[in-house]
Amino acid sequence: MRRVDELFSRHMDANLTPEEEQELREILRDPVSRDRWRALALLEGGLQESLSGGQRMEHETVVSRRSLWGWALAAAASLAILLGAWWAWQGRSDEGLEPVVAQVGAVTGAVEVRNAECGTRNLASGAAVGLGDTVLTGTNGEVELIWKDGTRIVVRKESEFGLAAAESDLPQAKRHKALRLEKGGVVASVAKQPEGRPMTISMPRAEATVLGTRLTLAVATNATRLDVSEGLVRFTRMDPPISMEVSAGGYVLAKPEITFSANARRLDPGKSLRVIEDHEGLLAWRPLPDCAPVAFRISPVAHSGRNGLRVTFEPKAGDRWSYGEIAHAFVLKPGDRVLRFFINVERYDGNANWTIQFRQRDRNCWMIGEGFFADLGKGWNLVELEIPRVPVNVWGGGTYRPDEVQELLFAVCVRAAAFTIDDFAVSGGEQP
Amino acid sequence: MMDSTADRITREFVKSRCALLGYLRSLVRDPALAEDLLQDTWVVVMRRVDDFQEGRDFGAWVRGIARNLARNAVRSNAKFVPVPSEELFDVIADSFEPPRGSQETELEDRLRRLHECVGKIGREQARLLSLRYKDRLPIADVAERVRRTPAAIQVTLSRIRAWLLDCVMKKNATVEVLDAAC
Repeated sequence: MRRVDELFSRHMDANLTPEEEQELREILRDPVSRDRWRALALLEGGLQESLSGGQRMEHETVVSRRSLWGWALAAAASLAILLGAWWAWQGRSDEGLEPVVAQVGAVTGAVEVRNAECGTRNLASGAAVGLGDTVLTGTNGEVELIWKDGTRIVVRKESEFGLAAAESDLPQAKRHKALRLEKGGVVASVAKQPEGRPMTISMPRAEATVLGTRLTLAVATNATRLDVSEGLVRFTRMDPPISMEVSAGGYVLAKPEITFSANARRLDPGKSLRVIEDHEGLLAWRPLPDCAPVAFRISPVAHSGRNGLRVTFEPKAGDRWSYGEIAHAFVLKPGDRVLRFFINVERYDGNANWTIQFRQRDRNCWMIGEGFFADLGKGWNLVELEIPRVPVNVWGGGTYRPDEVQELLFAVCVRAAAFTIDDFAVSGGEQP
Repeated sequence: MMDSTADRITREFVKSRCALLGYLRSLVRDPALAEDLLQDTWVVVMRRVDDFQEGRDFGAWVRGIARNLARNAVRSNAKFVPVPSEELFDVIADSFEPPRGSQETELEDRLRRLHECVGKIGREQARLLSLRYKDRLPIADVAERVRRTPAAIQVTLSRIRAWLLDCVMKKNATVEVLDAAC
């Protein structure tokens, strides 16, 4: 392997030692190495674009990741729209922003605030933050923000939390609290908000609408999690669209292709659910392979109806297989979009996880989604998986052929777990 | 006249954004920060659309804008994400600036085949790419998920990248090349 490749890899992973950094500076004087570096960088951009799922490489069919990018790309087809949006954006910097929104309570560690003009300053207890400000917490930083109405929000470490300048043409007294959590997490205790003006916390892929409650929000690179302690919160994800009301003790964990929830009511229920298995008939699952160390049986613990399927996986040292799989006959129909099921976890070991795969002829297996038992709440959890157009191949190679899918696999990996699953269904199949 | 320039610039930007994203990634390393900077670059490009002189190297002009934004971001994010030193930042940014050879332009065009090449790699390699680029896990987390050491993951990813570069440049690259390398 070329040295410049190694150094590129270590640089991208922020693992360069000072000596290696010096070596890299030397190497990049060489034209051949510079060419190689540029090629690797170009590939990196291509991999990020093509695999991150947000954007396609052909500009005619680009899917937006954020609204700004969305109108940017729409502009490629319509210059009039482009210029309109450009002026709208420019106008934003001329808004007369209200100076104070919240007071700063307790501060721990490094906390900064960045204003709308991108200037930054350290944030201390007793200071004020205003519209357009963004609070930035470091690896050990945490800060409490207190509003006049008693709303308190603790911004946790490694977060970026903005006080958006929404509705700036209205007097401050008539605005709702429009906040933005770009990354990291917050714990909020929200006072009852005025009628018709709920507090909103927007995130890169979702939004929470809060009337008055206690909640926890966390945003990771590819996931948004809302936990509700009291009251009711409306949770909306933009792409793919999901809208839920989450009540006390409930949660939503939304990732790009999979959503977990409990104590949550869908406001946009899927159309024409096609039931795959509700366990009210004969046992239709089989172990795969036949000797897989997984036990399963029809159980009176059910999400609906009389029966569910109880599964236990107890790996032992020396087992031939490090996972347990059960398979169920399944035909994928054109237009099938979302696979859903319910799971109730009894126990699990450490970071035990599970995967859902589609199995084609000749043992080709394709990953549809995976989850960790630790992410699930108590009681029945709803799991909804977007069926990808081209899933990741996990076994057998070959080409993905939706019309050759024969079985649905539920696999438990490496560590022990006991749980019940029920009510597998697919939605969206009515429209090819 | 203004319309056609802006329209052309927009198309050029969209066409080259893959390369620009790679440029920004190699400067700031953090994928989310690089994506934000790509968007910010586009906004600035649109604001300065009248500044662009016909006949000028569009790529160099846009990289200049992106470089300034990236430098500011590196300074303001230094406490929160691991960013390169300013000295290294400049060396890397400078390494993109000589006039580009035809090989690089060809590579940009051939990147459209990347999906095809990714489709040829083995399941373990595809899994690593998915964890690293789709789920955006750090190397240490990828290593934990596949129960290998971070150093081994780093080496494997480096080999996958090298193989993918070969694949997009060569019509007849075969899967065996990667299997042998990994």
